[in-house]
Amino acid sequence: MDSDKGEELLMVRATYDVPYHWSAGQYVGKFFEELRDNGRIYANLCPKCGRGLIPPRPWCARCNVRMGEWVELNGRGTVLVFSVAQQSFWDSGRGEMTPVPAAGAIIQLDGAPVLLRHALQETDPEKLRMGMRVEAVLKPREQRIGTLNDILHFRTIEDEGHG
Amino acid sequence: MDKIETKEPMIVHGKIILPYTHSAGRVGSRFLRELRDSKRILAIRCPACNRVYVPPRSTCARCFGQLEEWVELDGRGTLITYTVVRYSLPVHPVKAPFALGIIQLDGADTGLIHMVGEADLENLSIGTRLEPVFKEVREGSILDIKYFRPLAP
Amino acid sequence: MGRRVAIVGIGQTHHRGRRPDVSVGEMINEAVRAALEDAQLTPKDIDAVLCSNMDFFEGYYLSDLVMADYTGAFLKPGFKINTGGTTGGAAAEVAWHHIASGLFDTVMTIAYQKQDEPISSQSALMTISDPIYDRMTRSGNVFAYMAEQYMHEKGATEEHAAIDRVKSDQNALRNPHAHLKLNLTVEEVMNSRMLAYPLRLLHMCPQSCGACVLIMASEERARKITNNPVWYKDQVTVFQECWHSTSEPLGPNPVESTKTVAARKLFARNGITKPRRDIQCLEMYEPASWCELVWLEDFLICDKAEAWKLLEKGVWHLEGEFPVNPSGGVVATNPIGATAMVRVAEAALQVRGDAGEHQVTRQVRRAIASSYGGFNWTILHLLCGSPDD
Repeated sequence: MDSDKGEELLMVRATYDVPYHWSAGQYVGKFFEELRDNGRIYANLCPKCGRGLIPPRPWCARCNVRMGEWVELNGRGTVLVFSVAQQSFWDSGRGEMTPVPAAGAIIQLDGAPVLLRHALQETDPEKLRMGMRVEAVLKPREQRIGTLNDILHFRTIEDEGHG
Repeated sequence: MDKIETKEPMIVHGKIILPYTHSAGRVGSRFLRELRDSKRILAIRCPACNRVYVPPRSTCARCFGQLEEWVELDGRGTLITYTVVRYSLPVHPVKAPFALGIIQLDGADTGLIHMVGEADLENLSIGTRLEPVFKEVREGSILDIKYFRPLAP
Repeated sequence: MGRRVAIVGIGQTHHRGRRPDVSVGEMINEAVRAALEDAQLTPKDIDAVLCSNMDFFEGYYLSDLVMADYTGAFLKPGFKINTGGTTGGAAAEVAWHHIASGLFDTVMTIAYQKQDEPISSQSALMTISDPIYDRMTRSGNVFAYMAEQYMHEKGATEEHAAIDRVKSDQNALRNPHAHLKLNLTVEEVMNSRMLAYPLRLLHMCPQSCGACVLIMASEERARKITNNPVWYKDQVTVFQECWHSTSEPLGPNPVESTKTVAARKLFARNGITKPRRDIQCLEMYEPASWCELVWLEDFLICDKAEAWKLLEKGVWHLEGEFPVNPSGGVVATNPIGATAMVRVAEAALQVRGDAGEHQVTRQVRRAIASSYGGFNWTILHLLCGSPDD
């Protein structure tokens, strides 16, 4: 064999680009449909432990009972925790590098005991804090296609109660 | 909310797009370099069971021995079995119709899967003697062999 | 509990960022040969071969197809295991099942990942989450959230993550198989590039290429193979909901940490009442240095808000009262699908007294290893020097 030093090592390059069609099912599907067509955000509630799920699901995985009442939320909430990504990487779902900076948060929504992970409009860590109030900004109707990204992001509520 | 029923089934359309670089490794790289630079097909022999592998590999699957004895093949071989592909997919190396066969190269104990070209696809037959045709521009890939063609009688 | 099971062979590669000199199968082969040599066995002594990795990193679906070609599994039974980040730990678990059940006597279990093959590990890793919902909202970083919450609620500072990172680095410098050996200072960690506030580059684990192999055997076989078996005494696996926003340890419906659930069960049924006394060291799957502090508390090794204080006292250091990640941990070495098995392997080396330069100062009778994966899933493994421990 050749010596290891200076030996040319070869790579085989390949890109796998595979389309998928994921079935959302009735519950998540209904949630997406309401978001797309009517701009409404729903959660549903577990009749046993009382927690909310967003998007709504048929069963509570903790209690093993069928989920109950659907409640419409007003899109407002409180940031429990946040982070701001500064490092871009290849987004294998979109086939492009991720934009940075990108802020994300776990948001406790008003109207049901429920959390949502989503993007924040504000990406300056200095202007973000735990407990800050935010509200959902939807894409215009013609751009909504029935995914969670029909919510563009959550923007900071500057002056709640006077809007 | 009265009825949990969508107007039509909700389908989320998406993709997974992932670029890779697969390492050929030291043994695979030598095999591919020889294809690219010298149009030579190398194999490797297991000293314990005498099996000759092409493409070469570093370990004998049966004896678990480490393989180092390189063997040069002349590239000629025999068609063991084949199929003619009549439909096209993006993953295919060429457009249909084309013939794919398992080719037993002279001096090797493993079958090599490759294409059969310059042949009458309607009248291929098992046992046909073949020789490799190399691409003009080679990049260090198993497809540097364009295909195998029937030897002139 | 079935039959007693011991680890009788341990092998791993020298983990690196790039391995263009080997194909996936050849990389696995290095660890297989090391484990067989460690056990002084040949493939004919092995009854079954298990193989594990995480999908999408090497870009081929039937990744266990390398098994027969490069592991001596030719004409033997075996299959592939993939449970996400816990994969390597689950592969050890399934080998334990195989032997404890009485169906097999000697099993080789393999975990690997070659992370120089995908464009980036994160690109492959994002396929782990639900495509309809979670993959759409990619923003944020779970460890950044954890770090922020820990500082806010428990009083830790960025300096503690840095001290912890330096501790792990000092251990890695003594480990011949470790990937990153940086000789870091606290200042360098604190000034490293911000990835996602407050998570910095040097808080995070690297992308490593590597493989790890364990050979496990029944008591009868183990005693013939070695004078120094490491007993795979017990383990607990805990899953939980995997959609985001249902698995968070915060908000109105917080779920108890799977680590706490696992530790409570494991400690109770093995008579462990004071973990830092009854167990002598821990190899933890900590994808970021912050995790080590938060999860020491979740694993009931110390009280809440105490991990960073004990860090200041050197408790978690190699020569400390309760060494954590004497190998240097995941922040130094992360062949992701093999990472959990490396924890088990390194804990076994500590029990056997064979960790060399990174052998902990105190005598190790019992060690625990943890696997992390999915959405905060946990496997907690207990290894002992005596089967009666």
